[in-house]
Amino acid sequence: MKQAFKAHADALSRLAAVALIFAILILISPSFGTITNILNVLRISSLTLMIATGIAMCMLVGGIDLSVGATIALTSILFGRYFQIGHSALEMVMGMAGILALSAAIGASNGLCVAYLKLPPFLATYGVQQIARGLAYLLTEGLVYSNFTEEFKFIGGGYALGVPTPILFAAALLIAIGLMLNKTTLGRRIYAVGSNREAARYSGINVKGTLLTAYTLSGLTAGIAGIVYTSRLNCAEPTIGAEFAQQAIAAAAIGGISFKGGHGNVFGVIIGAVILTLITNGMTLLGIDSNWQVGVTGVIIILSVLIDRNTAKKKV
Amino acid sequence: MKRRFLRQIPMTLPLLFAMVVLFAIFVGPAKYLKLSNIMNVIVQCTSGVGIVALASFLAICSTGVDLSLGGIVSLSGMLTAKLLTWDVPLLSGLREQSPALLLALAVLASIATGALVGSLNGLILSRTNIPSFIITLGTYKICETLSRVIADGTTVRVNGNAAFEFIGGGSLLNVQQIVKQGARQSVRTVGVLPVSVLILFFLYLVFSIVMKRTRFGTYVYAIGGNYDAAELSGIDTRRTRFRAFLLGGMIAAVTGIIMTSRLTAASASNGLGLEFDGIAAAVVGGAAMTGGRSTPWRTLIGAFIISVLRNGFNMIGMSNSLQMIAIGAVLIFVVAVDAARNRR
Amino acid sequence: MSDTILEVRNICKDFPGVRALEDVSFDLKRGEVHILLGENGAGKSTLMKVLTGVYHPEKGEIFLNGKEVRFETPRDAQLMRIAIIFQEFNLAPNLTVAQNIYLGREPLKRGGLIDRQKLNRDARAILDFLKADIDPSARVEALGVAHQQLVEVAKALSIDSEILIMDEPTATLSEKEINTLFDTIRSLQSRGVSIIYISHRLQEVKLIGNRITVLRDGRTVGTRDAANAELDDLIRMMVGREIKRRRIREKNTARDGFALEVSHLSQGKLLKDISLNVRRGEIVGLAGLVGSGRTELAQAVYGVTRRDAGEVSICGKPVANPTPMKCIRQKMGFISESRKEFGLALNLPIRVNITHAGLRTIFPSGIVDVKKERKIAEEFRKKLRMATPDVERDVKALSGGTQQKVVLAKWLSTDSEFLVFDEPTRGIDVGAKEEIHNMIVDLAERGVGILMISSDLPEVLTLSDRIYVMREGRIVREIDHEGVMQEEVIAYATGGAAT
Repeated sequence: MKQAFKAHADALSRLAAVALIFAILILISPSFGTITNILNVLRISSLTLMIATGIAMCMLVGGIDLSVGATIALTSILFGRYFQIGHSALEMVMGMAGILALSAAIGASNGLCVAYLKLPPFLATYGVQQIARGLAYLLTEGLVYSNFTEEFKFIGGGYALGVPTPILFAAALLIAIGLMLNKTTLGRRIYAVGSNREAARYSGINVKGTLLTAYTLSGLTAGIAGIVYTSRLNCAEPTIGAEFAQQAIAAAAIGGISFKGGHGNVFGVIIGAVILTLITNGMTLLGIDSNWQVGVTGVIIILSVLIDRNTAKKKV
Repeated sequence: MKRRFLRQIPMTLPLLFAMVVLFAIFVGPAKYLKLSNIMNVIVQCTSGVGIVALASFLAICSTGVDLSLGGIVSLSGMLTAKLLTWDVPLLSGLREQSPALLLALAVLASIATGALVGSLNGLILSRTNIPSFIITLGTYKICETLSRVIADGTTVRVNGNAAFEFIGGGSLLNVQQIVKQGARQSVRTVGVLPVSVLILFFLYLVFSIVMKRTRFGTYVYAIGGNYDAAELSGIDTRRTRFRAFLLGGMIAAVTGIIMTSRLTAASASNGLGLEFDGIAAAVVGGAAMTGGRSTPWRTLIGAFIISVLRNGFNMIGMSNSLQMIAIGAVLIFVVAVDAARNRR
Repeated sequence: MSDTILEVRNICKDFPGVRALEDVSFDLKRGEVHILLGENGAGKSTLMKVLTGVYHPEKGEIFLNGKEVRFETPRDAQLMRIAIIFQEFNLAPNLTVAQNIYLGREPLKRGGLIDRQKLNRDARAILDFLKADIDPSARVEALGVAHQQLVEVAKALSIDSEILIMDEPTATLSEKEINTLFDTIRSLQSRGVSIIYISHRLQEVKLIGNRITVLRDGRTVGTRDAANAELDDLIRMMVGREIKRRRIREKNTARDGFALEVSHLSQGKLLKDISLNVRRGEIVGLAGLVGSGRTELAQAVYGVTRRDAGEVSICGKPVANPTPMKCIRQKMGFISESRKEFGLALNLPIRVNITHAGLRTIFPSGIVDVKKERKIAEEFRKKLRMATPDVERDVKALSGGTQQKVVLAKWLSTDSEFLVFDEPTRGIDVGAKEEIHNMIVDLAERGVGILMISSDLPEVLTLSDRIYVMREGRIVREIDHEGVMQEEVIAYATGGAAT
């Protein structure tokens, strides 16, 4: 029992941080504690969450994915350009499937670069990011798309079971990936590769395949996030998503995913994303100037990571 | 000594050469190899990636990464511009009586700011276990915030300050060229020894010596090579990493000054994003993310490669979006080939 | 000046949940070689770290030359001229030999720049003293293991140490290099340096040591004079129980059918035209010096590296472009010599590590059944007598011997029919060693073919049915077990005999 407590001490300490921030915010501004606002916070953080989950997988295998923002932009543009009002529901669904396949392909190309070309992940995904965003710009041809069907708008902007849909998507994704990581052999392989790549190889684990899968999944989650985000914004632009990579990485790191690999879990990611959003939301409620918000976020990120006792000892 | 230098020339130098040749062919030698264009590339480099890459190199070599560099560039540039133009009694008085002193003050304040941010990075890095990635992400945001606050929504222009403009736009040596346009003839002045380039080379020279001949340089490499060994040998790894980031901050501030000088204006968005170019330049120049590799000069070549790419693409009229695609592809290509070479 | 240079009294060191050192006391005389003997987990490593300022003891005193001292940091110990050479070298691979030797103490010119000429000159001087043929301006990563160790020795010498601690210094050295090292140690002794020498190799300790202190379970058991110490006595002190020395292999259990067949395998400059085989149920020893290519051969067979020529068949099926994955599917397993690098995911729990090689077979549906995994791990914990209360601990918290048992458990859970053991008992205490030997014999009796690479000749001789001797990338001799002597194997390994 004591050992279980110790193992989860990190998660608990982070949870405590969330509760603390929450309490402070409620004290400052009572309107913070309303259900509407809480759901709002959750809805905003759900997007970061989805992406952070994908990036977390890359970090778990010891890498990183900087291309998520660009993937979202590309997904967004493709959808915006080709699926406006006038298409049948079936066409939309097929279109979404196709776009998700593309986002997975972007992830796969990251994976190919890292696993087969042996490129450093930072650079491979940076390069792919450039390429993807360039494509997004190209396909936009200067227009902004925003004429979406009601069904589509529901994906990101609707309510189901009294809860905003993005939260549901995020929850579903989290549960799926969490289960995968903890309960499947793929998850075991991811942790093994992240913890000690060579040892994994000697144990007969398909290192390249595992890396490829992790990055592909990251791309896929970015694609899903892109569709949800586009639906919520009700418009598609090539510039969106630029800051998502940073945010998601910060959320994952705050949540205890180690940059070295092999350390951390999905629960931490949730906490990280929530903390990040709480702070931003809190500042808005307080009426803090948006310029200052950026700065305060920076300080808070540093401070909240200080709480983390399990941060890797060195490197990066 | 010469033989060892030659042996060290990495693939990047031939690559640079090849790129220049390729662009020359595509664009047309007459247009590309023109003195004004070449100087243009070089100056674009110095006021952008060129010096920032050195800061990136220092961070990466000591097993870190500095994402705040772009923020520092923006902040220092903004600060310089503001100090030079702020209508406040103390500064206005100085501007009238001793503009040189004001300029010196502004430059010093700017570099000091870079030092401050860098030391903040270094301090947190050396006292806690937080990855440099996160710390510099945070300080980046802080710098961006401060820069925006100073700008207060506007672009701060520095007009009529010849001394200041000289830093980024001036040249120690000028060449007069006669430009024929149809029937008319005009004279164009091309600066062939830009001050900013001199600053750049000076910095790289200094740091080349520092990395090879000082204890600090050896310790940076040692940390990258085997952190535990460095610690056990009694090296103050914390102080070394602190210094690496401190110096990086100061170096980035220099870029901010040069950039603002060249543009004679500062807007909060100037320089943001340079940290990534810096990392790309350092890595293309041979640095490994695990630290302990490459040298300042190689990093400079990497920076030039990136600048040549951008300039070349602009010349052949490639749209911005295509440029992004192309640079991404080239980056992947370069690193892949280098990785393949090193594996043998 | 008193005879005793270092005195350690009643040292206690705790870690969360475990008392690593309990009331440890011993003394070191000036100019002596004092052997520290003990199993893994006995506390030798911890004691060393206390002596070099890496750990702070909870209780106890350290006296240097009669004065009490406290070490706050490794630097303090260095300043007191205590140097240590770890088993895993602490060298920066990207720096030169000279830079590594003087790391942290670089000579400066006026003006603050490093005096490179002096650096290289001084390094050259030390290397010459050690009779080491190494270029001081060469990068450490370009050197072989034995040379790297010499650089470590040079490093210790460069701080003019009064006390030198050496942790398993001969683990990776050839016979010739060991003799050179012993000569060096003796000349250090004559210069007044006192040496604490940590080793498992019982046959060495009497050769080089003056006194021997045995540690067990964090306590000092006793100190003997090396000259009249008896091996059985020492072993008993280390293990706490009688070990009967006997030939383990009573009968040859080789069966029909080959677990491994290698013909004309070559790889670059490392391996030349190698042919050998291992029958099912047979234990084949692969002897040779460090650098003779044994591990490289195994790696080429296993697919970790690519071979240039030759054929390999595992359990009867030819394997063309092997990868560890393919080999495992062919029922092969590989227990590498470096468990921390290639054998274990250190920050993951024991039970997770145990199932890493058999994910496909243990969880065929792709879903992980934690209960099943725990059960398998528990079985191995008991069977191999792992020094851990449960299987949930992270592997990095375990001692070397226990870690090796986890690696063993990993492969035992895969039902392999052919196993390669590379230095299976390196860095492991006598008790665990015997257990592992029994395990290997057990496997052979059940029909598993075993290729055992080992530099521990008694181990090779006791266990093998047949022995191949490698030298410089070739098989120079195949020896049938009956009547072979240690000297004969050494002769072939070093080229002393006609081949």
